[in-house]
Amino acid sequence: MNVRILFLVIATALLAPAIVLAQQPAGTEQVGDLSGVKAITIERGLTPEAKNCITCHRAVQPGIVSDWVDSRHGHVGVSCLDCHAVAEDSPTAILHEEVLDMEGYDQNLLDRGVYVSVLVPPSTCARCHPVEVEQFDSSGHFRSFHQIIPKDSLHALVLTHEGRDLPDLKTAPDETGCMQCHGTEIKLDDDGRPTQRTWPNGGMGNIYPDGSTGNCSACHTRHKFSIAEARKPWACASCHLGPDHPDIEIFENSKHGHVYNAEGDSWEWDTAPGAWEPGDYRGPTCATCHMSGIGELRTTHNVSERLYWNGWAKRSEVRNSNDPMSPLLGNGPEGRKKMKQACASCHSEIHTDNFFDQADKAVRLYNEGYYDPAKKMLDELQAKGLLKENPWNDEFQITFYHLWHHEGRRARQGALMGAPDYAHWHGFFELQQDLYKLQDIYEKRLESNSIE
Amino acid sequence: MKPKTVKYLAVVVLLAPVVVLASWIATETMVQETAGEEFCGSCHTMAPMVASYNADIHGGSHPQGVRAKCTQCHIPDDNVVTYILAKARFGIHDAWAQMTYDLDAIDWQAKRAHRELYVFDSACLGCHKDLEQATMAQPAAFVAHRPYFLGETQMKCVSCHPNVGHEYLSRYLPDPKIGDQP
Repeated sequence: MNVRILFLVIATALLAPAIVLAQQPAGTEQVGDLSGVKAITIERGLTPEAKNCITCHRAVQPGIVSDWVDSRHGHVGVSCLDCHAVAEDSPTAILHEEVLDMEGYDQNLLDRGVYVSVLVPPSTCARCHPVEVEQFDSSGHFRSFHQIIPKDSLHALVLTHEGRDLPDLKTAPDETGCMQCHGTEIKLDDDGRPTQRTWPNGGMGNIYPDGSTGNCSACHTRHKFSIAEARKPWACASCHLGPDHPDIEIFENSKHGHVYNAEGDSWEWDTAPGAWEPGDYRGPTCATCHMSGIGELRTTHNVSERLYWNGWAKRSEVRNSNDPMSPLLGNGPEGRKKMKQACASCHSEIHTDNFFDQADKAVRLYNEGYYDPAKKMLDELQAKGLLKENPWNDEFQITFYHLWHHEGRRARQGALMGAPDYAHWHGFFELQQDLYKLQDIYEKRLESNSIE
Repeated sequence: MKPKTVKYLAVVVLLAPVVVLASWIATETMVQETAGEEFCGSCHTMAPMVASYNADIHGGSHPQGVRAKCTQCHIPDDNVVTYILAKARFGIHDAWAQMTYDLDAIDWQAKRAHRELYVFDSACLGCHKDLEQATMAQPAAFVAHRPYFLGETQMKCVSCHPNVGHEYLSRYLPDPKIGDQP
C-alpha cells in the first residue's frame, strides 16, 4: 500500500514537466525568452510609453532588457526613451510602424507618434554626464576616427592592398577591422536607420549624424553601461591588443597584471567614482592609473591627461598641445606629475622615480638608436628614387613600418608599463634585427643603385 | 530769489514727476510691446520661429495657457541694466539685418548649432527658479542637472534642450539640413 502511494508520487513528479509543456501551445517556446519566465512590473518613475518599451522588448530582445534591469540606469529610472526618444524631425527619428513589420506584436503596446533613434550619440549621454563627455572630447580618444580621414596612405592600404579594389568587397577590411575600434562617420539610410557600411560598430571615435564624436559604449557596453566593467582591463583590451599595441599583453606581463590575474576576482569593482582606492584592489588596472580618482587625483575621462610621451608615434616626443587632433596632445611634465601621484598610493618616491628613469631611457634609446638612423636611411633612399612605389611590396618600407608601428611601440610601451618580455624579446630584440635588415637593404641599394 | 526763478522752479518741480512718469510708462510699454511673438513675428523671417513657438509648450500649446514671451528666453535676465542694453543691441542688430542682409541666404538650421549664443540661462532660470530643488525628487532629473548646478560643466540649458520653445522647428524652416535632437 505504502509502496503504491510512493510510486504514484514519484510518477506524478516525473511527469509534471511533461504536463506543463503539453499545456503550452506548440511553437511558442523560444530560447532566451524571458517573458515566460519573469514578468517585469516597474511602476516607479517610468512613463506609460517607457513601460511599453520594456514590456514588448523583454520578449523580443530579453538580453537588452535584462542588461538594463541590472544597470544603474534601471535603478534611477532612466528609461529606454530617455536615451532613444528623439524629435520627429531628427535625421535618426523612426516610427516603429513605418520601418518595421509590427504584425504579430501587441498593438496596445505600440505607441504611435513616439519617435525613436537606433543610434544614441555621446551628446545624448552628455545630457546627464556632461563632465565625462567634455573630458572625452579633450582626449586622444576623440581623434580615433577623425585622424584617419585625411590619411590617404591608410585608405590605400585598406581598400586597395587589403580590399583588392574589388568594388563590392573592398570595404570589408574597414567594416570588420578599422572601424570596429576607430569608429567611422555613421551614415543613414533613407528611413533614418544606420547603413550596413557604417554600423554596427563598437568604435571609439564615431562621428554621429548630429555631429557629436565618441562612443561611450566602446568601454561601457550597452545596455548595462557598467562602471565595474570599464574599470577592468578587458574594456581596454578589446582594442589595445595585438602586434602593434599589445597593451593587454603588456599589462598581463607586468606585476600589476600578475596581481590582477591572481586575485582580481575578489576585488571591489563598483565603488563610487573618486573613491575607488587601494584596498578595494591590490593592484591597478588600466583605468586606475589612466583615469581613476586615486589619492588626490581627480577622476578623468581624458586618457591623455597623465601621459608624458606619445608612446605610439613614429618618434616619441614629450606631449605639448591642447589640440585633441594633435599627436602631441597633453602636457608631458604635468602628465608625468599626475601619473606619479597615481603611483604614490602604493609606491615610494624612489621606486616611482627610478621606474620612470628606466622607462624613459628605453624610449630615448628607441628614438635615438633605432628610429633616427632608420629614418635617415629611408629619406636617403627616397631622395635617390630607391624606394618602390608600392610600400607594401618593398622589403625596406615594410621593415621600416614594423620598426616603428610594431616593434618600436612594443619596446616603448612595454618599458613604460613594466612588461619585460615586450620591452625586450618583442621589442628591442626585434628592433636590432629590423635595423640590421634595413642597413643591409640600404647598402645593397646604394651599391647597385637599384631596387632588388 | 526772483519771482521768475521761483516760477520756473515750481514748474520744474511740478513737471518733473510727470515727465519721469511718462517716460517710464513709455519705456515700459515699449519693452512690453516689443517682447512677444506678435511684434517679433512682424518680420517675415521670424515666421518659422513663431509657428514652432505656437506649437510648443512654452508658446501656444501649454495646457494652462502659460506663454513665455520671446524676450523671456532670448534676452539675458541678469539685471535691469544688462537686460535693457541687450535688448537695445539685439533690436538694433535685427532691424539693421532686416534692412541690409540677404534674408534668403540666412542658414537658420546652421545657426541652431550656436543656440547657446542667443538663448540665455539667466532667462530660463528667471521662470524655472526652483529647478534645482524641483529635480531632487526625480532621480534621473536630479542626476542630469547636478553637474550644471555644481558648476562642473560648461553646457548651457539649450545644449541639452535644443528644441525648447520651438516644437518641430525644422518643419517650418526653409532648408531642413540638420534635424533636431530631443
